[in-house]
Amino acid sequence: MSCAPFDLRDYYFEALPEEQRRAVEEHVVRCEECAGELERVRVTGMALATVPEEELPRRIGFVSDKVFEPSPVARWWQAFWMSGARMASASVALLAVAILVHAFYQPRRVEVTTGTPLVVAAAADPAAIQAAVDRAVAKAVNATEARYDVKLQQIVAENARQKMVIERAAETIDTMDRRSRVMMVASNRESGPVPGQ
Amino acid sequence: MIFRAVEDADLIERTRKGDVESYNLLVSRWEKRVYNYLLRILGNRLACREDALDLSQDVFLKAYQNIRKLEDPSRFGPWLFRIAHNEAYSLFRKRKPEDELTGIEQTHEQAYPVELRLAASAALDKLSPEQREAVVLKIYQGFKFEEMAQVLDCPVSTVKSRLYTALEILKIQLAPVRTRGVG
Repeated sequence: MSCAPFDLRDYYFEALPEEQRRAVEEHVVRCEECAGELERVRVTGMALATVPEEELPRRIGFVSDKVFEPSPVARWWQAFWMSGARMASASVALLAVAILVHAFYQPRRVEVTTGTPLVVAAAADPAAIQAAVDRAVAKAVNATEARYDVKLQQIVAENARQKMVIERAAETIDTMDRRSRVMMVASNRESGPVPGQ
Repeated sequence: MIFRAVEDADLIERTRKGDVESYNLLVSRWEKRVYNYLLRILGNRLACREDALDLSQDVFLKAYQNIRKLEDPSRFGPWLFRIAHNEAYSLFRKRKPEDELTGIEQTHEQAYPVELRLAASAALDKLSPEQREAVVLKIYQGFKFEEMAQVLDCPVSTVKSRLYTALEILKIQLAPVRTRGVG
């Protein structure tokens, strides 16, 4: 067990701040046991370093082959989903379209008068007029809400359909990706080392 | 010190814009390190070389296809080795026990005393895969502890624990060679 102020292995791997490094250095000058331990760690590291690196049997240069590049659609799709700015732009554009549609959309005119009987009634009784107006407004509101419900359901259905299409596209891309990798590995195994590399 | 006219981060940026040759340059810079990392954690035997080469190709293909997901281009090294780590462990899971060979087959040039090289290789082989990987990342690839933690997806304390345990085992394994005066 080392009596050094800090871990000698941290010192060896240069993981100590300068002040702690100096403290260890001062300690090992005085402590024979810790100096020996540090030397054993150093020699072990040196012994491991004698195992040399190997050269590659052949170079890895497949990327110049267009076959292994992602398709333009896949690149665009990946870039689109990875880009926060594009997603934000798309959201803003959708919002703008929604505002424009809402501004210019004219709901169908609701018939609130049914002809002379109402006029006659209006002349006769203000309370009856108010009641008739309230009924007409309620009817118009109900009709509008019903139309919005139908629209909402259509949008939800369309979203679900598009989600399914996207999921299928992602599955297809994934399958093609796996196939290309399998083909690459298989072709490398078949062809063996390329002469001159 | 090696001066690089074009930094890795520039090459990554160009690759993202569709410049395939920039990626080829990145591959040529990193292929030897990735190959040797894979070879060493797979066991550094003749039988492992084809696996290490195939995995290296897979690593660079995956890195190319996911290069836009790399948030900080200055961390390309640890990110690339994280992919390599995942590929190696996928292979470990697929490997059958009978595929494992025993014994060391060496064809290196004799730049160091043979006895020491063989002893070091044999000692590395006795480590667990996690310990061996920690040694390879630190001793042979020179990663900092924080980078190792990123590659291995575990805390720095775990990385240190694996490395220092491995170091104790290696010290014991290599002690007889040292005492014979080879080291």
